Order: sequence, then structure tokens, then C-alpha cells
Amino acid sequence: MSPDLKLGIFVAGGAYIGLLVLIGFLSRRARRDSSLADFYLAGRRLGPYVLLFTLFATQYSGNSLSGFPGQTYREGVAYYMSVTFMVGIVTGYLLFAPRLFRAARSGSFVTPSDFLASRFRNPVLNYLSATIFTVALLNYLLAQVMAMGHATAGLTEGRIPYWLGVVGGAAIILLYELLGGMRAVAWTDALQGAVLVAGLLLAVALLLSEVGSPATVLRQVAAVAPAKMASPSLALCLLWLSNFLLLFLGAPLYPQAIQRIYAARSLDDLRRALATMALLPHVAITTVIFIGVVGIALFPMADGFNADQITFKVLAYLVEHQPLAYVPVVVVMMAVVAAIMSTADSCLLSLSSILTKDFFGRIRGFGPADEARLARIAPVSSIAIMVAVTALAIRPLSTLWGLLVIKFEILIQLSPAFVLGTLHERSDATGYRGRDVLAGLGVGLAIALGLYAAGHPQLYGLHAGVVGVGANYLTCWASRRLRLGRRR
Amino acid sequence: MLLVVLCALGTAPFLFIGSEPVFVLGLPVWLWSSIGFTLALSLLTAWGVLRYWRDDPAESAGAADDDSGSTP
Repeated sequence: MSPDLKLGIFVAGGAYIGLLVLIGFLSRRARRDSSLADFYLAGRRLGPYVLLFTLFATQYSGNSLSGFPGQTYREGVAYYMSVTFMVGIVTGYLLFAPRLFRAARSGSFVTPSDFLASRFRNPVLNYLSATIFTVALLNYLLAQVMAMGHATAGLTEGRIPYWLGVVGGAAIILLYELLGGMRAVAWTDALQGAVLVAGLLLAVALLLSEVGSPATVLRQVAAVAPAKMASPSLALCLLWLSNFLLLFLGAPLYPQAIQRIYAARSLDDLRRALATMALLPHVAITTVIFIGVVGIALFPMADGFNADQITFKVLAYLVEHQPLAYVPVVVVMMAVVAAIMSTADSCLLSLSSILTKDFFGRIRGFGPADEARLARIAPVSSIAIMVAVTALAIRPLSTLWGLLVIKFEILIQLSPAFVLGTLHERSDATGYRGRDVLAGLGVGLAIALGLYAAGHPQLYGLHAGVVGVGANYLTCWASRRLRLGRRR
Repeated sequence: MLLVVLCALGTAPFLFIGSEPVFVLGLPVWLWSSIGFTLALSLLTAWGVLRYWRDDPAESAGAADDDSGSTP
């Protein structure tokens, strides 16, 4: 890395952090009251543009920018499937989001489990769902905090060590989040989303000018690595479909995604933001895949090379060959950091809300009258979570990590509770009851975890979680039919 | 919803399994097929969101004059 580029990264990084903290202070001044809804949901007043950027920045993590090109480099153009997955996540919202938004408005929900508590009134389901959300979020937050450390160490070539990147990044996120809660997170997401979009567009413009059109690059790939252009095998097509199902049903259930549904100012704003989100993967993900494809064309014989570093390798190539690439490359590198931070701050806020309201509030039997007390606990729980996650990121526990990698298989099991739960009002006697959903959840979890424990993470190409959620839906349906039949 | 399911199934290039890639406009046909189905899925989703999610005017009336959260 040239000294100029190093200096550019330090200056841009410093300015970026300064802006984040400034936004934190501005969002603190915009706070209206000290309620939980104001801290965790920005007072339910997010407009369409901030909502779009915060959804975008939260959905596209650091993995999207550095992991997807790496995966494309390994698997070839078949990794175009990731565009489908990202579209599928937005399609998944069609199953329950509008009805959930209306329920959240009338019930003043703050956490995802608030909906389940209001709809099913089953304490076991409340605690089980909160635990599942915690497991899913802990994994995500831990991965992002670790990625922050790796990105900082990588971008500064080790001048800022991994542990300092972890501690420093965590401290900055914690600072602006404590200042403004969801409002700070959403506003910083808007900045991070803008950096992300600018970085991606600049990367594409640079690549097109340096290596030629996509067709030229693909011809090169076909010449140097024909296997990377081959049509996918049956196993890969099944995996493609299974991954799609996993994300279609599971990703919209991430607590930070559900809380953005709650935080929308109106359903109209939410639908405008999500309609745009449905089209964004064609630009954003196609761009990162193109970086991976360019990597195949430029570095076809890179045996033993860490594929996850392909983004940085392609950027370094650009800086070497295009003197004007210096500034855009700095923006792209900042975009990687922005993507990581924007996902981490959303996870932290959601985790804090679950710990405060679903666990602490419920165990202590706090009701609506105790909201001021819970709001005072909220910052404390954010600090406690970040300290614990930072410690884990510095010294990861392999057993915990092993448990957490299957989070998606577990999270997806909550799909029937939300999809079937929003189909009927609680007062509707023919609707699903807590025991139906709980029975399905039990069967789904047993199958998903059982298959995993038995060494079958996939069955006939389908993920254990997808097999489990199929059985989960069937059990819910059968349990309801049995109950209604008995009543007749 | 049936169209959504069909489009989702179509994104995975089952019809091209094991076939030699044929190139059209620089891209293999199986990739064109996946791109087409994914685009159709996107448009269907966007259309579904805009067409079927209707706001209750009374619900948003209170927030209409208040956009303090929408801009930094």
C-alpha cells in the first residue's frame, strides 16, 4: 500500500468517525422523551428515505462487500444466486409485514417478542422466542465486531492491531448509540448507506474503465477458468433453492428488521422503502459479484490465496494501474467499514431491547407503568452486551462459536409464529393458538438441531433448518385442525 | 403468490444442469435465465408491496405533519 493511500485511509477514517459521533450528538438533541419507543424505535417516526437507508445498511453487512466477492472467486459466476437471496429477503416481508405493522401500532410493541406475547399470551413461547432472537443476534454482532478488528488491522497493515480495532470500533458504536438510540443508528445508517452506495458505484466505474465491459471480463474468465462459467450442478441448484428458502423465511425475522417495521412512520413509508429494497440487489450485489469475477480474470492462478481478500486485491490492482483511483478506492474501503458498523449497531440496539424488555422486564414483572425504569436500564444493557461481545471477539470461545453458526437454522423456526400469527386476530376462535405454534416450534427445533447433531446439516440438498421449518408449519396446521375438529 | 413461487424456482437454473454453456451477448444462457427470473421476482415483489400494502389514512394523519425523524 502506498504512503498516500495509507494517509488517505487514516484521514478518511478519522473524518468518518468524527461524523458518526456528531450525528450521535445531533440525534440526542432530537429525542422527544425518555420512553423505550423513543430510544429503541426513534419514536416510530422514521420516514421513507432514512428507513430505506437503514434497511439497506443493516441488510448489507461487511460480509456482503468482502465475503460475496470471495465466494464468487471460489464458486464462479454461479454465485449470482446471492442476488436472488437478497431479493428473496424482501419478498419474505410480503408474508407478514403489513399486518405486523398494524398490530405493532395498536399494541405499542417494542421487541419482536412483544407481538408474540400479545398474540399468543404464552409465557414459554415468549421466553423461547426471546432466547432464539438472542442467539441469532449474538452471532451476528460477534461476527461484525470481529470483522471490524480484521478490517482495521487489514486497512492499516497492522499499525492498528486487531484487538484495538475491536475495542475502538465497539466504543464508537456504543457512544453514538447511547447518545441517540435508534435515531442515531438510523441516521448513521443513512450516512453509512450513502458511503456504501458511493463506494459500490465508484468501484464499478473504475473496474469498467480498467478491465472493460462485463462481457469482456466474462470472456476472459471463460478462457482462463472455464469451470467458473459452467452451469451449476443439481447439488448446487438444490443448495441455491434451500438457501433461498432459508433467507426468504428467516432473514425478515431478524429482530433489527422487525424493529424497522415497527419504527416506520406509516405503512406508506414502509412500502415505498421496501419496494425500492426489492430492486437494490440488482445494483448492489451484482456490483460486488462483478468484483469477484474480475478477480477470477485478473488472478486466475492464485493457489493458496485467501479468496476473502479478493476485494482488496482488486482494489490494490486498480491503484497500481490508475493514478486517479486513489480517492475512490479510499471511499470503497470506508464503505467496507461502514457496512460492518451499520450492521453491528443495529444488532446491538435490538439485543439491548430484548435483554431489557423481554428478559429483565418480564422476569421482574414490569408493566407499562414501569417503562421509565426500563428506559433507564436500556443504556446499561447496551454497555453490558458490548463489553461481553468485545471480550468474546478478542478471545473467541470455540464451543460458543460452534453453537452460534447454526443460528439461522434456529431463527427460521419462528417463521410460522409470525406468518400464521398475523393471519388472524387473537379474538378469532379459528386462528392459531400459542400451543399450536409452540408444538410446531418444538418439532422444528428438534428436527433442525437433531439433524445437525447427527452430522446431517443438509438432507437431500435442503438445510436442516428448512426441513425443520417444513415440519414446523405442518405441525402448526395439524394441531389447529385437531383442535378445531374436536370442538365441532 | 403462485407467480412468486414460480419465479423463485426459476432463479435456480435446473433446466441447464450438465449442459455446456452457450454464450449470448457475452453471458451464458443459464445466467441470462437466472437474471431474468430474479428480475421478475424483484418486480413482482415491488409491485406486490405497492399494490397490496394500503395505509390507513387515520393511522398516519398524526404523523403526517411531523417528520423530525426523517432527516438528520
